[in-house]
Amino acid sequence: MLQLLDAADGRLVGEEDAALAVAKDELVQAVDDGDAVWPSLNLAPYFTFGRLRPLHTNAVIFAFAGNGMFAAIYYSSQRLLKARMFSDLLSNIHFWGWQLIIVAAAVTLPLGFTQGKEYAELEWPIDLAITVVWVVFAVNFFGTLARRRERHLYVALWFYIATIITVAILHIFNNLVIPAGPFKSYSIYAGVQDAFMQWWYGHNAVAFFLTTPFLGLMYYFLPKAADRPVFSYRLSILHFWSLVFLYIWAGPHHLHYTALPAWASTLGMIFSVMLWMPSWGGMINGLLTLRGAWDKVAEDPVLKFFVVAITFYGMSTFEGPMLSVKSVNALSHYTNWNIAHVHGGALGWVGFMVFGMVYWLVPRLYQAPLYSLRLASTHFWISTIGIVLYVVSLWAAGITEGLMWRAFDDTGRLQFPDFVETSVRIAPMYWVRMLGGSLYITGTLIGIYNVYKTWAARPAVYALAEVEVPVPTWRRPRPAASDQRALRPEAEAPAHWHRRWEGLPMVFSVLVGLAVVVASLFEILPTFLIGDNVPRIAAVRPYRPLELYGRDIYIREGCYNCHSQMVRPFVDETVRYGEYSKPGEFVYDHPFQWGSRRIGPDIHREGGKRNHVWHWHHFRDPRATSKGSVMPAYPHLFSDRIDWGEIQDRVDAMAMLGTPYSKAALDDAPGQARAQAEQIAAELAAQGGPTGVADREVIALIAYLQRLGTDITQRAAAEQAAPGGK
Amino acid sequence: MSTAEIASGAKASRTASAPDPADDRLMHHDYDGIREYDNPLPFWWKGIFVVCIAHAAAYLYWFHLGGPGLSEHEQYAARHKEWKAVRAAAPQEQVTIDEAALTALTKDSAAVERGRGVFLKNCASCHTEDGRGLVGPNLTDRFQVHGATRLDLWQTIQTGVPDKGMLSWGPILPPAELAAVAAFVVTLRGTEVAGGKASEGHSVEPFR
Repeated sequence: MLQLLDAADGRLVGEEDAALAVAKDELVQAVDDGDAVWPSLNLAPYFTFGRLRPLHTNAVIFAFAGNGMFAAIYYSSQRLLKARMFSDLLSNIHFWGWQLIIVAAAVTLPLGFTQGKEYAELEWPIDLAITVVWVVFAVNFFGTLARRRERHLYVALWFYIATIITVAILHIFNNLVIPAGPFKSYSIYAGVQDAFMQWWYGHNAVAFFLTTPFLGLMYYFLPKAADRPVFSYRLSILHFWSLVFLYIWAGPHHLHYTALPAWASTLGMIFSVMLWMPSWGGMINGLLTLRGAWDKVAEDPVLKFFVVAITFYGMSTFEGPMLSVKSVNALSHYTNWNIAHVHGGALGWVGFMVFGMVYWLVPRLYQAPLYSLRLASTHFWISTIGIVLYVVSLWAAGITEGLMWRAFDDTGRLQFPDFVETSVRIAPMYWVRMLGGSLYITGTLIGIYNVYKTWAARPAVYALAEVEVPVPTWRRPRPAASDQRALRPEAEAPAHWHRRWEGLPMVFSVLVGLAVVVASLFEILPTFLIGDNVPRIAAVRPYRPLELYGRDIYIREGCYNCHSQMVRPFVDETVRYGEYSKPGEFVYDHPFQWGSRRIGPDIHREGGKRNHVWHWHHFRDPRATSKGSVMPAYPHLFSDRIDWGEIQDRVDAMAMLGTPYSKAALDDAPGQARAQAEQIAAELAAQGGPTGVADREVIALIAYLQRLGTDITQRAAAEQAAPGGK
Repeated sequence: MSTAEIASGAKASRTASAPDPADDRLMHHDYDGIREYDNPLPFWWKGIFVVCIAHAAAYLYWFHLGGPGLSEHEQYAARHKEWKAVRAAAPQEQVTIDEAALTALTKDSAAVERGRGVFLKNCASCHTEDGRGLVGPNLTDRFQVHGATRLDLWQTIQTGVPDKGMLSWGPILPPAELAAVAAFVVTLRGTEVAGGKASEGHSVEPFR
């Protein structure tokens, strides 16, 4: 039976869209880099680093990688299944819905609407939209599986199935929130549990958004472009299942030496180490598929991009397990080393896989030869050099920071007690990084130009491709035993046990779902059920209404992008910052704000360290109080007024989550907040600060900062004052 | 093994344990033109995978299931103890500072210059570069908030004023730097820099 497959099928999700997303994203990154070098660049509150960085990460993941992944899935699935998508309407809803979500992110994140959790910043209405669009995508995809003409599923499709199922689970469970307004919500989890859920999500966003779909992409486009058989079917089976099962456990390696229970962090580490070979299984299957085709790599830009992408995949998946080893993580965590690691993955693996795919698709979709091989080659080399500069400079910066933070002199004093000294030291590395990033974007722009010129030379009318598709005989009533052999040629070879599952997509999908859910529950249930994991500390009380409001400003401004709130149990950290953080201190933190990066110092023990006037001057002009600081100024906190009317809703939402607020706070939170603001304003004036500023946002933020990390030390002080009177 | 493979040198990179070309057995299936071999897994791949799994078991036993590994907090306690011993043994920690020593130091222009450097780096953020005061009090007037003597100044820098937000610099600065910066601050008093912060504390005589 002949079936006409429209060549336009794969055009449903715009490849150019992905390219534009990377361009937009690089611009955001360029502004971010500039922020670090020239803090005075902040022209408006909307473009501070704390608000742009989430836009950058969301754009890379959801706009660039997302659109690239969808293009690969729509194009390759229809060909691998020999079937048109289940519904063109759903395809269109998916495409336009997803682009609208990206626009919504680009608007709301600079406005400061954020849930304050990395890569899950988008507020609840957008999260609902993502859920709907994802379900549309899933229905469309599984519907196509159901009407396939190819009985067995090729390995690329296994990875797509894992992606669709797991991303849905991750997205839903990490974004469970209680709304406190149209664009404001509080995570239902607090402190340790919230951190755990967030990094279960965060790490598996890397796994199932940035890895599995791109492995699927590789399994389709690489053998196509190389015109060589895939190296090993049994390796595909083994590395697919081990990857899906092991990846889910690895999240807690983002939380080593934090207040997370040590057993959870150990699981994160050992499963990350076990993940090394399953990841490399993908790399081997990619690179060894090129046996006998290496001469093509020298000429074909598609294969060039793929080879470097897979090499970066191999490097990142070695670096990841290494960084997850606790003693390495002690040095690398909070530094630029992590930033180097993710950019090797994002620019090298994801970026180059997408570029390779685009160079393969564009001449085929537009039925015109690629405009210029030479430009494609230029794109490849410029961007490759860009990545190398980018990654190497950040390795150097990260290791420099890590070593400077922990350096003691021989008398036991911190060698660099002033944090600013460590951030000034790495500024030259930021310039190299900026050069690397600029090269990468230059290469991308060349690529966009090449795609545009190819598109411009397309024929007026596309030729329709005729494709031979198999007859789905296996859907018909079972043939007589004598015919069976002829209809199922693979039966000639001894059938592989896995082969059966490949013909049963629903069973296969359920097994993938089980692997993911079972692995998750092993970690999640104990974290939530065992009381010992978060020992209560009696002295830790809920935030007062003004402090809660100030905390919301902290979240809105994205302070967690540069400041951690987690003093690790290391001598250099306790000497620099104060007592290490305890799990019980975070029980009212919806969401947690431990951070993952120290562009500025940790501030968990900031409360009471400096007076109000210092903070006042610091927010007005960080360089006035900390020479060389890279923190932006926050002039709008001094002009914008506290919205007293909002406070009651926030307190009520927190109370709904089980925060034990007093009756007074529940009856009149704004009144309590006003009283505290007046008190702080009076203290500020007494310290030589301005007068009459009790209604400014900065007062609420100061109230929060002065509270941070003080509950347990105040208990210690109280015990000292009245020995035995606990 | 195809001729292209041999020509491109792929064969040269093979090791003895690499799959025999006979293993390059094509599977019967074909997906949109994509075929698959069913080569065995590389030996080193299997080996490292097994070692990683064994490591997981060993690590779990060592640190969590009765092995001798110390918990993170026990490790911290041990290291903190070591650090305290280093601090106690540091020879320069036993330097004695008194009024006479500080007075002598203010006459030592090299020491005062060193003190200015320490001041600019650590103190200017609150007291401004010329000491007229901003977050912290004016150091150039004829007033002092805590005590009156040079030693009182040194003591204030050493222990800080936590209630007012002044850090305790004793644990941060080495004693020589602490003394030098105290000497520099001593030289500021009475210089009455224009535009200084309003005086705080009680009136004192300028040092001579």
